[in-house]
Amino acid sequence: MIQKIASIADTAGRRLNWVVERCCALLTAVMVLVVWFGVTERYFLNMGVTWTEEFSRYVMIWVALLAVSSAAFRREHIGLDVLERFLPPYLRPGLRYLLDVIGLGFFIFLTYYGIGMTLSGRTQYATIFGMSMAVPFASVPVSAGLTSFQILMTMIRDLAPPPVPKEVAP
Amino acid sequence: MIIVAAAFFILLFAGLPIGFVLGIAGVIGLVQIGGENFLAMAPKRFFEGLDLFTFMAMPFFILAGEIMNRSGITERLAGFADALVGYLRGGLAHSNMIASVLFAGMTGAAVSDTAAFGNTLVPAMVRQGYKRPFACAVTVAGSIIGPTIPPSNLMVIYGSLMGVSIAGLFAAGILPGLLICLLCMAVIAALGRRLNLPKSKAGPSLRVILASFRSSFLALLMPGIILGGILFGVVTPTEAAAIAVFYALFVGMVIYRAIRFSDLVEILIRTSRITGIVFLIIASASILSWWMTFMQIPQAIAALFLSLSSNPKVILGMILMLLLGIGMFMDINAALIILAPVLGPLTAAIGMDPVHAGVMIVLSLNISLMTPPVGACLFVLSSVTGERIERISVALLPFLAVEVGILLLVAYWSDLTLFIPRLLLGR
Repeated sequence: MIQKIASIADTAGRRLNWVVERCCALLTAVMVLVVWFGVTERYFLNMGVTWTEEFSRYVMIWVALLAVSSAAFRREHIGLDVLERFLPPYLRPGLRYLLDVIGLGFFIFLTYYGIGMTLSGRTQYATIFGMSMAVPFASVPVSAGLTSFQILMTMIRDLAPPPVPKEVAP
Repeated sequence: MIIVAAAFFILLFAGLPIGFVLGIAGVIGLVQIGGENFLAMAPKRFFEGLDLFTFMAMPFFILAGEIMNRSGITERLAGFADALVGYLRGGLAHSNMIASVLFAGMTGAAVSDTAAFGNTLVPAMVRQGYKRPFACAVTVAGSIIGPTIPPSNLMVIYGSLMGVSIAGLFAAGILPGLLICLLCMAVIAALGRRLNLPKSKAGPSLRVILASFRSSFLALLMPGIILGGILFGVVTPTEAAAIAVFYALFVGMVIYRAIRFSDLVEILIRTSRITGIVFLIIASASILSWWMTFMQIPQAIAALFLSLSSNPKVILGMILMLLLGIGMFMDINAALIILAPVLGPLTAAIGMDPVHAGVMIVLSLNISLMTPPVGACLFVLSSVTGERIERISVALLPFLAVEVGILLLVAYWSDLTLFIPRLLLGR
């Protein structure tokens, strides 16, 4: 039963991560193209375009924050393992779950207050395209929500690690 | 303040990722000063901490490095380095150092260098008869040349946060980086006979040097493109990084034909993930950093240092000890974001040029990448090669001593860092 739940959590995490990673790749490509366009425009075309810097900055924030959930799914965020190494093996899973719960709490907090920030951003406008600041601000609650989900999935997944890790396309 | 500090250190040593620890400590700080009313500040600071155009240079440098790496550039650079110095006793160890300098012009993070050479040069050295801990030590010692010689992610962060010229910092990092290479090569030469390092039978060959130069010429142009553009004021660091990506793609896909479209997706995904890990640290540290500013902690620490001594040289010594000490336990990006606002005013108070101070801070933190228990380069190399961290650390000691010596030179002899900025930028 535990194995089955862990397997479902692993699949859910992988599928979501597959989508998020490709979104990140696409947005990174967009960011590169926009800055290239900005450089070309500034030095060769002189069209008086002013939106490239701000637009690419917001894309960068979306990429970076979306990727936080991906690194959480892969447990790649950097931390010390000094205490874990000194603990007897039977206490290690307990420590890991405690730390996961603390991390989960932080990202649920960011999701909740990030939604508030995004809603307040509806009445603020960026200098480009008259865009509502809710669009860039939404990167915080969306990424924090995704990261919360991935931390939860990794916690369930680690109850019974699946035998063969593989990349699953949706 | 004590609660925030206690929460920070307990969670850090318990093993919570540093990006999470910084955010949680910051949120606790916000609750302390303003209760629930201040909590809404957290996501705002988190967002605003990343909202800087100059930060975009980091993902671009990471992307350019990944593309060049995937197109086999690392091997070409290593080949050229080997042609230059491979005939000496301990030739591959010398080549490792020279390759680190060449690679430094493409990468902004030490860990990229460690991972690239850990996979290629360390096994090659072991096959030639070098002891694995020594091969690892040479690679780790050389890898901090990467973020000292421009481009450097840490310099981008420092310059962006403190309003210091990134071009100036880049120019100022060149001489210390080259000095690290030269003195580490001197250590290898000094240890050569005692450790009985292998010596190639073949002597230097101009034909081989020219052939390997031709093979790696396009890669060698990359630092020129990045630095030339920035230092001569043609482009901003972010634009230069974007041009470096264009150049790397052109070389990788059109000239070398080593990268296909499917590889590109993988490269973009990997770049975004590395960016996400670093940027989470920056965003979370912004919450804590805002709290520290509100509590006037930077001023308090500066006042404490200035009350301990009025001698600038002594204060400089204390700053170096603080940097090396904190760097031993904290991720260097996080340490930089937290310490920069503290040390910026302090170094200004003792009359240091901001570019000189920036390079000194960055170099100190780079050196802490090689020291246990949190030396990221040690961890990466240990996982790539399977060698134990303790054994690498012991073999690293002579190199570490030399690099700390260079740090002292950088700290106490400002001309070493400011000579090139003055020459090129007229500072």
